[in-house]
Amino acid sequence: MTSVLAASDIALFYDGWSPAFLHLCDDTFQSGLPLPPDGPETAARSAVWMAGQAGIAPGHRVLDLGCGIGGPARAIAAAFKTVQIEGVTISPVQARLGTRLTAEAGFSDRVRIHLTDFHHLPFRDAWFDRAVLFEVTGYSDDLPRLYAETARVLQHGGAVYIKDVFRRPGPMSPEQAEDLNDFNRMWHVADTHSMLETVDALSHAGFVDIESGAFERVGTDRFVGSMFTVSERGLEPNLLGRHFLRSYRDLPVEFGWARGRRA
Amino acid sequence: MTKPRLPQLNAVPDVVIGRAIQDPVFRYALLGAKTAEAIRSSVWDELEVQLSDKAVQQIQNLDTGQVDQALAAVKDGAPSAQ
Repeated sequence: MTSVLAASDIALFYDGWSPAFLHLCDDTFQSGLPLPPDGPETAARSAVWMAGQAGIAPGHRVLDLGCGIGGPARAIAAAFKTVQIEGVTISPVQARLGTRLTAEAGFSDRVRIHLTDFHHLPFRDAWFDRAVLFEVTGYSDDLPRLYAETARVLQHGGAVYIKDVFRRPGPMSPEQAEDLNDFNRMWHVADTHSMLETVDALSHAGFVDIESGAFERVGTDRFVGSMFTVSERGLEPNLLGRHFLRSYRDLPVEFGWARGRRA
Repeated sequence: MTKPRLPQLNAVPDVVIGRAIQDPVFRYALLGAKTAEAIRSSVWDELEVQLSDKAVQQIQNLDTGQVDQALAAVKDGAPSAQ
């Protein structure tokens, strides 16, 4: 289970950095954007494409676990006219900022952002049709609890969709372990879980028809570009770049997806 | 959905900067383009992004040395994956 200290560390991290990410990047705090084979790389296109992969349909109640400031939720709400989305974040700053941006975008009636730990959801049993987790499961140090709670709030036949950075399978070299440790510390994640751990936790939580895989296309240009600013002096790493750019020797991670249906 | 209410700091879209950082072929095609039209078509063909006049001007003001210097800030130009 996530410790109080770890949860507060994560909240403080995102309380501090969310305004900078919004200002220098955009309202979607994901490093990689899964996309259809063709077309431009935008966060909104990625969110809508993943919503399709998750089986989100008009009229669905959708839970966005670790919703950040609600960029993907608003994009999905814009694309699926009658979808209702409840997002949860552990960061008070994200909750306030996301609620304000949602109101300004005119989605307050269909997108709500709640301040809560995603291991303890304030929703009744079997309420949602779909749950999505976009690059957030590393913030759980208790995957079985996270997915059990997700299963609890999903209807029978409802489904979960996960897109994340996963630890590559197999043993790690000392350099890889050091890189991963640095990566986890920098992003304040509890752990970068493997796909095997994820599928296992989903299965134990009662999900069936579990599938997983890699993406054909993941755009990272937007995220990388947001770490540089063009000025009169040329191209320079900005605040994000100075803090988050790293040169790893062999970081053992990869983007992937998993989904499962609640029995 | 992007950058609601806030002004863009870069006239050059992030996705263009990121591709130039990560793809040396695109970088040298972009920085080697001689005219505004060549810059625009290079970016459109690769990324389906329309550039403003200010963005084109910013790209024309960049040289490979400045970009190489930025890349040196990150040893091999490889950022974190997350």
